[in-house]
Amino acid sequence: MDFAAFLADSLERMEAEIPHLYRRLARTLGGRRVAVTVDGPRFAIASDGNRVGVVDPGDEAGVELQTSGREILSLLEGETTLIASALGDRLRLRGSADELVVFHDALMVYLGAAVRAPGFVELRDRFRSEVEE
Amino acid sequence: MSFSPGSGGLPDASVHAVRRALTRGDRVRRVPRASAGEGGHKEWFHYCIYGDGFDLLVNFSLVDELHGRPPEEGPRARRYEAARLTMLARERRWIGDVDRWSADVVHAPAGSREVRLGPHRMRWGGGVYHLRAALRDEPVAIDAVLRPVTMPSIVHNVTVRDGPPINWLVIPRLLASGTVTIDGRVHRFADVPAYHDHNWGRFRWGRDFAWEWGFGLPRDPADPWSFVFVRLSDRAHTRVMMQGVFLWRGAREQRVLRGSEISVVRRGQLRQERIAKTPRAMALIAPGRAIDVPERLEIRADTGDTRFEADFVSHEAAQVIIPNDDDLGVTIINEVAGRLSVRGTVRGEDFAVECPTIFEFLGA
Repeated sequence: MDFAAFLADSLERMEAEIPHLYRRLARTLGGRRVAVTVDGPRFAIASDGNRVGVVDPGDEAGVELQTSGREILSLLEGETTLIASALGDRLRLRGSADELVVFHDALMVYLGAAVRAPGFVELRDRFRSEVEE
Repeated sequence: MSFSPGSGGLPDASVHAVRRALTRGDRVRRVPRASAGEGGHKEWFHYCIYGDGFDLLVNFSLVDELHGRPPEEGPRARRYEAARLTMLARERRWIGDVDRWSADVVHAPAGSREVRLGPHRMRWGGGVYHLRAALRDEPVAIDAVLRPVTMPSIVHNVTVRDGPPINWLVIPRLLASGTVTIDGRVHRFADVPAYHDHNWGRFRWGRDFAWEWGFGLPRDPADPWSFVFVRLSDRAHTRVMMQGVFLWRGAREQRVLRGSEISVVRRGQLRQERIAKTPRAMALIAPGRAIDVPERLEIRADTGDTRFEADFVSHEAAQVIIPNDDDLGVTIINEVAGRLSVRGTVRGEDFAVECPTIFEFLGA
């Protein structure tokens, strides 16, 4: 399972298990697009304000995120923090200050759902197995 | 008077009385949503064990959660049941985790004296608690029996500021025997001090309440004194809703101090370079190193017939981080290993206890 598949599955489970946070995530992102590169091909997270999902990257993105699967695992395992990853150049975020603030708000909604939805544990374990192989 | 529960004697209450009280009182209280319960019930069975060279905290928690829509949106709210096993172990520093278990592998029927989460089990039977549990991803496991040597204290309907009440049963003193494995090291122990409480209610994480909770039990089984301290307040600690000190002498509760009989002072602020946070992913949401824990907690009472002084000195905190029920925030339970010094006089009899212990500080 690559990160794009993990993210797509996690958004589906979020919609099914914690729908009010799924809607809040979509509203928070508004009509924005976040381009993501994690080890493999670039993809994007896009929202129309009502629905949010994984899509082809396109050209325009308000925020560009680059990191590795291993770094994401380190974050999930509590071995590092977002600030330490960014300062250590292991996680790169590019965008205007306004766009980065919105991205941070959306990330907090996503993480808030992740720790509340029972289905995320299995997804995380599958992603971890793949990264550690 | 000698008091030597390790050799099997209970001088001032029979073994049968303790067994009867726990068989009647320490049972699963929930009515699960699947059995026409209202949902939103919380309940946990909490144990602490103090061996030579380790502290261990084990918590079997049942949660009939309301998720999907906030409950005020009515009966269409999507609901599911789950349970959590929390284990925190400390040799030199805390390690541990919170494992979630889905409803299909949770066995904890109302009225039962057993909780099973997959292969892990807590059971009351034959006058002892049987604990067998291990974490999925952290090297912590226990297989032990805990024998109560004091009567329980049961307190119902403790009001919190803006929600349904909390209920609890507490046994300050048990003797634990068995094995604990921490990071591959096997600790075998017999008749070491242990503590147990059982809490239940339909309160909501994130509401305006906090608690401070602690206990003291001497390592020497011949020492008859044990005690429990509890204080419920608002989150800012500016308004106390209830506070109490419960003192046992031998098996029986000897004295209860309440409300204005007690003064509590928090001094200083515990600071740590590194804090063990569980579940580990919650460090992404609550990454800070500020801890709402005093360096020192002083509890005092002087009522004429009873003088009580307790000083808890914090050494190291681990955090259990719980998502709030009604907002995106979190509630942090600080489990704090420390040193407790208690001295006082009850009805002319002096006592003094020095022991390691774990105090719990709940806050935002």
